[in-house]
Amino acid sequence: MTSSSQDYTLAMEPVRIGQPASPPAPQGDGLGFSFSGSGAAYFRIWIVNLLLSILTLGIYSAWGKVRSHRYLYGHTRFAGAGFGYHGKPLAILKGRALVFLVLLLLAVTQKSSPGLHTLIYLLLLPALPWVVVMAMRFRLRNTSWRQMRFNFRASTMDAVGPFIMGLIITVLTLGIGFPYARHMQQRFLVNNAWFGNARFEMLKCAGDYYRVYFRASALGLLMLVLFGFIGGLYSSIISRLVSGHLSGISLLLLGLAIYLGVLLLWMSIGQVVRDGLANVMWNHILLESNGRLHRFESSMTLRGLMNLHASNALLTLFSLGLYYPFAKLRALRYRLEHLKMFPDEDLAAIRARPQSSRSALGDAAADGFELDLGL
Amino acid sequence: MSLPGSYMDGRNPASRAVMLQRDAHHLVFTDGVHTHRYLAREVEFEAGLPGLPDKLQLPDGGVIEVASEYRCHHLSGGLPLGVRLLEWLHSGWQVLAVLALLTVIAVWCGYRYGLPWLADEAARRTPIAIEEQMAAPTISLLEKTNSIRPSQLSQARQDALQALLMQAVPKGSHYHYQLRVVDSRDIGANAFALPAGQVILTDQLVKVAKNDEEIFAVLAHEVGHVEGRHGLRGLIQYGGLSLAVTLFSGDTTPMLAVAPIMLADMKYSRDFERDADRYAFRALAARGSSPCVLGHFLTRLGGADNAATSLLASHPGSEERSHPDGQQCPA
Repeated sequence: MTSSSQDYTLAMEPVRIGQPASPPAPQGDGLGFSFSGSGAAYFRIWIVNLLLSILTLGIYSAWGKVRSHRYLYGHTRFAGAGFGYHGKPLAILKGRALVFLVLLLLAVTQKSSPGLHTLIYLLLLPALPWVVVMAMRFRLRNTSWRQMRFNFRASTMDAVGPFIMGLIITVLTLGIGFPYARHMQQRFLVNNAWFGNARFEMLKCAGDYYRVYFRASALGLLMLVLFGFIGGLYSSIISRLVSGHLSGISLLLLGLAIYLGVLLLWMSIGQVVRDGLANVMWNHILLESNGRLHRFESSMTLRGLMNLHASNALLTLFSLGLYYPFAKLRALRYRLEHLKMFPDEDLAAIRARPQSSRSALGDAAADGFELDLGL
Repeated sequence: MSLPGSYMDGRNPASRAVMLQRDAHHLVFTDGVHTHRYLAREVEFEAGLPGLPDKLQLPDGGVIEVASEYRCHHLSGGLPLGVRLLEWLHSGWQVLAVLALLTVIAVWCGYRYGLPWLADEAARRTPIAIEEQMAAPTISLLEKTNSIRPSQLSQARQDALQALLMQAVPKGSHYHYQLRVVDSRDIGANAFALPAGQVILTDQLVKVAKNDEEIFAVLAHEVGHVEGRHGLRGLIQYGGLSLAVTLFSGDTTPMLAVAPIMLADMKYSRDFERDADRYAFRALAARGSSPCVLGHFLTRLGGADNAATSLLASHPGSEERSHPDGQQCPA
């Protein structure tokens, strides 16, 4: 393992906090992340999971998630070792049942009693910080590297600020404050994450968050204009071919093309933003253990991400979803191969801390509400 | 029998080579300093993941990774039943093919029979008050967008049409029927029913009709929708389809699911139309009219259908609807 000549100590903390929003430049080669799994093997896990989940009305999905996560984590390799996933199927099933009941209640009340529907939403809102904390706790405590568990050490009350305030800021600024709120939430999630007795910290980088959102929306707008142009051209050609009238079938084809185009755009831009933000995040993360700071470097590019996600979306669509597991692995491999760690000492010096019991309730709740935790 | 493995205690990242043995109830190994003993039933087996070593998760947070050329099958006593079952399910393409076939059959049965049955049972148990609440937003939406105006027909004519509607209502109906005749260029010659007995009929349709029997046929069709609780059942079926597709499409975008859901829902819609047609045929026959009246009138209203788009249509083709219960009508 590499060792840097610079010696960071806890005594230097004021310097670190007062630093501008960029960590010290990486030195040496760093330790890379990689993925050693195969698409064919993961496809089989995915398809069996899907089929059995349908046949068992969703009950198997908890076991399927554990198997799929164990495969993906196990093949995610860093410094010669894979990661481990320790989530228990029954805990996941309980959480999913709760989420399913809430969604069912929302669906039933939507048409029959709008008053009750709104009331349930209002009751769910204050539960958001709880859901976030439970989900992160479940996810990190059930993740290990060399059998050492990660941890998330924050209370529900700690999450009220970033999540409820973040929501209020977003609404009051008509969305302009949204990247700032996301940045605040992400820092909360990272700053309470631990690996054994080593603590993660994310430096402030709200400006970079705005840059990602700005570039992605510009890209989206450009593609929309391009797409409108192609659509217009297509429809004018069709209308000439059939003498001013659109026949039923060609109208249908045009509608389908527009639908697929918008869908592709939607699918890829969302993923590009997510990975773009993750890229910024990793470049501002420090891992502090025994008074030393380990840095990360992520070198994903907007162009690379756009190529990756647009081709993934295209292939997934035209394979009627069968390419999905391959697309997922391809994206995972891309992320990992662009990520490096620059340790400041031997990582073997990190030790575990004792931790308490765990529940999957928050994890499934977060899945059900499609909460993006970005880690 | 002993297996080579690598032991990590979960408290520091170092690993140690160990030799693993099993007696009747215990796993035993020594890391060079201490001998460890764990009850076998408290150990969790992680086996059979392609390209990964089998793992024995120990109850105190430690783990033994069995070297990849061995698998933990070799331990006497073997693997627990659940783990073996999961391994078998992932074992080959034959099992996968059987699973796929079973799934196709299950999905088809659920779609064709399961969900409609569930929606019917749920609708039967739903109070009429809820159906009345469902209808209210549609009426106010039509009024707000100015797409309907008061009818140009005389009050006497409207009363006669209301009386005609009541003739199509079965004896002992739970619903309170009310006809609203409206003038609407946007809707055109049409009629529709809202849940719980509101039937809306346009002046334009009344004008196209050659006689009251044709209007009766259309009103009876709408009564068929109300009596069959098609509004509520349709809503439940659409909700069921959405829920199923959303749950099983996983973390793909919800937009991807919209098209298949709507396509699948169209079949349900056509089934409801056929159901309402059958009600109208019976009502026409009961007052001594020919069931052919409905089909003739609908053909005149709708014009020709395109056979290629029939799978996407919310209503069956006019051709099919002109054959009440398969019988031939005079042209």
